[in-house]
Amino acid sequence: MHLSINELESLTRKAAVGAGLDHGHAGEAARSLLWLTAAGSPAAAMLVRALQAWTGGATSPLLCRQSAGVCRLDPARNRPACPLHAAPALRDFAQLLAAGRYPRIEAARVAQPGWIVGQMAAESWPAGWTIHCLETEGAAPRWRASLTAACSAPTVAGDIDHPDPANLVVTGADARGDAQAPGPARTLGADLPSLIDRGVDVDSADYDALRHYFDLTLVPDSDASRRHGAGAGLVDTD
Amino acid sequence: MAAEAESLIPGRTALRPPETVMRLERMGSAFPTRLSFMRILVRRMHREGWTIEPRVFDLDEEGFGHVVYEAAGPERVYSLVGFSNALDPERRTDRVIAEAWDTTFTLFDGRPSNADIERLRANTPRQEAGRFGPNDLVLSRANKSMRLFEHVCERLARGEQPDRDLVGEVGYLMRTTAVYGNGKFGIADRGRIADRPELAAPFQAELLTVYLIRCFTLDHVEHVAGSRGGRRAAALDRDLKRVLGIGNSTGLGMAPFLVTHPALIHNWIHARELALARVLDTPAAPQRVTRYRELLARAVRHVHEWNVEDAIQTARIEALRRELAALQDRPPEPERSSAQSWRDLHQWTAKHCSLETQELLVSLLLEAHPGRVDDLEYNLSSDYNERLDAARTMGEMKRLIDVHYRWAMSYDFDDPAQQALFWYTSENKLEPRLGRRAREAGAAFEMPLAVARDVRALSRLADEVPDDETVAEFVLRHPHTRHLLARIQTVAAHPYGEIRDNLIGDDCRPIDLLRCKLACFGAFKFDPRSDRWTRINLYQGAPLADELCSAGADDWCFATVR
Repeated sequence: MHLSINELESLTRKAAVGAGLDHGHAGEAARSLLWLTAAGSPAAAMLVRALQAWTGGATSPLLCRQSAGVCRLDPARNRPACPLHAAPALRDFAQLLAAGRYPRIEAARVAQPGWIVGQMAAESWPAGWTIHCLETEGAAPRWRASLTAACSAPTVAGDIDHPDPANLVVTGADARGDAQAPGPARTLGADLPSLIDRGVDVDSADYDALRHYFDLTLVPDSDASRRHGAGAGLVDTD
Repeated sequence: MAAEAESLIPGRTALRPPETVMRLERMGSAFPTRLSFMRILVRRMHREGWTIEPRVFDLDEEGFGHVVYEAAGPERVYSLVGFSNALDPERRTDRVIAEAWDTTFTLFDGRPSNADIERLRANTPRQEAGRFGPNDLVLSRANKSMRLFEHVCERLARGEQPDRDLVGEVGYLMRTTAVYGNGKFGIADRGRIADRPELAAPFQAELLTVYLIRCFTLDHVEHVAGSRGGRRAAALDRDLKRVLGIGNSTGLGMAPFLVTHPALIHNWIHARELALARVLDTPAAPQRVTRYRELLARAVRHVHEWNVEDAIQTARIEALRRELAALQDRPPEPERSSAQSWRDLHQWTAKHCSLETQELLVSLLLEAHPGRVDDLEYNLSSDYNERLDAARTMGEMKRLIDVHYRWAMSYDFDDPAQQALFWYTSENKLEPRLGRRAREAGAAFEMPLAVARDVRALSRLADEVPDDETVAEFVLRHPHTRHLLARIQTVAAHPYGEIRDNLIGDDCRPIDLLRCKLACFGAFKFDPRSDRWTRINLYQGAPLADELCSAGADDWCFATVR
């Protein structure tokens, strides 16, 4: 299904609302999806998985705990954290990092952690921070994403499309100084202008799944609603 | 100087505050001004010497077939591709849920090839059910005014002019019932064209489409009349052509936009208020006073010709007529003007006149001072991205709520009347509708337009947390407040972007929202058909296509038929 950017944004935002997200998180999900699509990630499929996991109870919102001066965002229930909640939360707390309130943030067991990179690009993360995606503490990162300047596109190394839950750590730009780089670096979202120019192709199965959630926000038509809801008559009187 | 900074210069006349102008009743009394988007478009076409020609006019004797109208500016060409077909009167409706129309249109970016025209022939008449591409900029449709179209055809066919009063009363041969842009149904996203100077101001592509449709309707009626009358048929008098605009039927679909785009709406309203403040600071020079009095006399005639069936609007128009007559007897006059004249006049109307008269005066004052106003047309767009500043504290948020949302605290939302309505989208063609909460299903799916209620609830939650708690911590515990907190921060920077009324209360009149936006577009002759939809006239009095380069091309507000 070929969609304009506006259609894609509207569909994903309303699909997220239909799946039970509030309007704020739905709007952020729509913006993140656009950036991930521009980066060549299977963003629509990622969103469908995230919404299905959320509505099926397989993912959880987050809680904030502070431990030894470190901010920890943990799943509120014993299941992976929903990426559509984790992404905005990480960005919110990264602003506290930038304000010097914490030296680092840790988010445990985030499902589809690559989703956070779309949020990083879309939502004006503070500059000079790096997100490390780790299978376990101390392991080599699955991927790493950095912003060197505010409102710029992040630089990514590694496979952000890997769906398995992982831990995320947000630090200063070179805090981890890993010798094991997760792969060659690339800039996210370089293709956004051409996306705006030509639109987006969405897999039909993903479109149908998003449309299913979108349709949940619509009120079924009724005779009374049709007659009175819009204020205008059903036949022209001019 | 940036508009925001200019409005803060000490000694300048203060702008009317948001608490005054962003009330529904005043918004519902708005009139177009020089900063209205249609005026901006026509000024540009005049300034740049645009030409408009029917490149294809392939209609049969009944006026059915297809057309291509080409609008050429200095850098680019835009083409209106239109299709006209027979329509069963029983299927003719203004509603979004309509499935057939007298005419359908696409504004194409450039010159369409034959293949483009065939693609559009397959899709444009289907409107929302069709699919479009990145070279298709706007999608629209229009139905005939059955009151006027046949009358004009018949008279012209007989070699006569139509009845002038009927032309003035209806004001249009066709009426658009939707004008879609910005990516809907696959058409080009606004981002693709927004950096073009001719399309940078709000809704320029959409309003160019409507202007071209107007051109078509004038040619179309002469064509049909000519087919019927042969050599006997007359052309429509030029002055009657100018009186004919394009009607539009505006319903609830337009209303949510004013709530969901606070930064953009702020820019529209702020520009108008800054223009007014500049004029009020301007000494009343004799030539400006002469111009003001000319415009006032024209407005008196225009309002005399403005007749509607709606009882509320009729009463307002009658009061407006009386008060305009009183204004004509008041200063300033060219020989006796003073530095205080405009301010005195404005203050007098604020004390003694209805909102309609107050807002009409604003329009007249701006119209009489193009040199003080027109540069503000470049301030109407917005690239503001609403992002939550989560490092702020809840103490700061409570202060912002107190400054910008004190008005919302006055409502008692335990009273069912204050939550009587809910806005929703119907599954039937996604038509926006307004429901009664106590009687109708669907409130669980209501659109987030209940700003007063929701900020009130947020305020109560915020009162329970310490002032030094961060927004980040608060939102993590109350995720549903994210969009509201972001909105409050946005409105703090864009105070004219928030409507200071309860949009779900029993006494909410959505038509006030519609009129405000339509006035920004440049529409006249508001003709409310209920409290949820109105008919209007776009481009009434505007220069015809071959008059765009004439000297008076920018002087067409408050058009009259006599």
